[in-house]
Amino acid sequence: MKNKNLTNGKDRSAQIFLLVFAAGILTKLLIFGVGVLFLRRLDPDKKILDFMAQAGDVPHYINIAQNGYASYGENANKIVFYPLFPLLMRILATVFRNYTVSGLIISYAAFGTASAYLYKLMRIDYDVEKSVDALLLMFIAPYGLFFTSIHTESLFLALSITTLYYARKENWLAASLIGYLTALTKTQGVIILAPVVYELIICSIRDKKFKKSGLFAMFIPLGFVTYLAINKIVQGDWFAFVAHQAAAPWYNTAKWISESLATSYDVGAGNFSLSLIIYHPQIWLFFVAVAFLFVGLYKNVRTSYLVFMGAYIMTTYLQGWMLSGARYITSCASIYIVMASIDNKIIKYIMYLGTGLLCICYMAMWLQGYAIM
Amino acid sequence: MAEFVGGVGAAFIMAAVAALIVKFLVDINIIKNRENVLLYGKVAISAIAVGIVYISVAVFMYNVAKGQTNFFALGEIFSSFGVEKSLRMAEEPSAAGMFGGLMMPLYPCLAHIFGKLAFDQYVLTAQFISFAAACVSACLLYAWIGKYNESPTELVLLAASLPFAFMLFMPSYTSLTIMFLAMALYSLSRDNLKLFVAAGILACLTCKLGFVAFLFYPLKDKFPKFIKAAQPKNRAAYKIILTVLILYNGAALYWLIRGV
Repeated sequence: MKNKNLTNGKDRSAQIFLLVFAAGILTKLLIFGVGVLFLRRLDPDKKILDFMAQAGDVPHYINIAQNGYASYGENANKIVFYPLFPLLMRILATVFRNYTVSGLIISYAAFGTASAYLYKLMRIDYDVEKSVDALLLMFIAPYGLFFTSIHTESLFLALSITTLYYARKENWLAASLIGYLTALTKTQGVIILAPVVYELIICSIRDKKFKKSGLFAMFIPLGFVTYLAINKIVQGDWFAFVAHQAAAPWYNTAKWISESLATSYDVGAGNFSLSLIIYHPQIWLFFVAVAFLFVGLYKNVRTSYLVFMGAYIMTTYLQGWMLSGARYITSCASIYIVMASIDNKIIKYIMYLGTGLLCICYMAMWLQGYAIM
Repeated sequence: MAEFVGGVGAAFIMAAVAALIVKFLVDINIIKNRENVLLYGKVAISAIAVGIVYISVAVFMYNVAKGQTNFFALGEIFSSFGVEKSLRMAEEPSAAGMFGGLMMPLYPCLAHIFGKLAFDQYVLTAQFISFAAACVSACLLYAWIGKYNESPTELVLLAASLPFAFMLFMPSYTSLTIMFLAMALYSLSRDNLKLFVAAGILACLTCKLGFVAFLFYPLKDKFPKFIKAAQPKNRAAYKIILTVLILYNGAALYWLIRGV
């Protein structure tokens, strides 16, 4: 009887996992479909797949997936992009014979995984209602359009949430291996070490002994070291990507947060249309994200999630010349956890209303070719 | 306006980092009482609010005196308060400056290290250290007075209004020195001799008058009487004294700014 209950419990858990996985993918397809409908009315001849393959950084990912990193020449600067996503595209392209389709499958599958694990993570501390809140707020995030495109956002979201989940479950090996992959996805990936170490410290103090399996956490920074090693092997310099980031077309160097925000403000002041879709949103989202950090402290959200959030915000906004701050902030899972923790019904409704309206708006604008990055 | 947005953003995230550090200390049971965290959090936020008022009024007075509307004239105002030496030492600490008699080393070294971490933003870092030290001073004073008085808020507000209290919020070693002096008082009230000695040494490393901390030791039995004597007899007397002190600070602030 006991074994049957356990089996039933596991079956139910698997069913919920699959249900949420599917719900995540379907919701994104639905939102994307609404955007496509807008596009069809305004530009009936536009080919969606061609647009998806040309938008933003996608051509770079396709280039890396097809050709790998270049040691010299005009494609040498593609080494600024982390390797995991293009590697997965290359692997999947052996089956689907199309890099664009492969990239989309990875993004959607990753988003489904992110949804399922976010639900599992939320259910550790919260009831079903709040867990669903976190999911829905992630589904309709204003810059969530990047979860449906060929960018690293979905993959990073999935890997970071899964790492947090296994850290909470004190499965240090799983957390570390997935954290290693997170560190291979984007610059902010190595930050996932912070919440894992935090949970390790809390567990060690609770049990009054150090968890030896926690040493696996050393795998996580090895993801970043792996990326540095790729720089060294391909271009002979561990930090080749730094020079490329500082040069055209990115002109991106590390600067203190005040300077980054001031630069965004200054550049936005000189270009009204771009200020509305690039510069001011990333300034506003900075303040909103930090405000949510304080809300999380007040609502007693798990500290490791807030540590991840604080480290993520700082790392993101240390970039001196930023065009994608809003996109990066959208990939921080802790924000949705904090939003879901709010009890006030009116505030919650306003969050749903604001994010949902902006979600459709930005999706439609992006598909029409506006410079949403 | 761009620098203002940037400065506010940096202050915001640094406050969040400080709050996360406190949360960590609560999570690992170094700080045991969550209610105390909320109470002292309010004290720290109040100290920040007082600092913002002082600085805003200073900027306003400066603009009136200069006949201009530059709301970000802090750099010019700092020179009128003689803090340019602190800022110069923070940017380039030198043995000649420190041991040749200019100032004691702790503040410029801290400002230099954190300024380097903040990508050479020395003025911002120095200001942040001052505000952080002012917040900690407020909490320590509150705790010290609270040991002998049920309602320490009034005395802490009186302390915040003492002549030249606005110097606590300027980027100089003043607030760090006051913080270590307050730490010395707090440690004596808790009979923590190790903390007292550490606070005294750090005060000496921050300011040439830091040795005053050690003079508190023979006076520790007189603290309760001192605090009782400092408490105004009634609400009216308290408000009159507070008003006089605030007016004095206003006059001193304007006098200093006019001298630029």
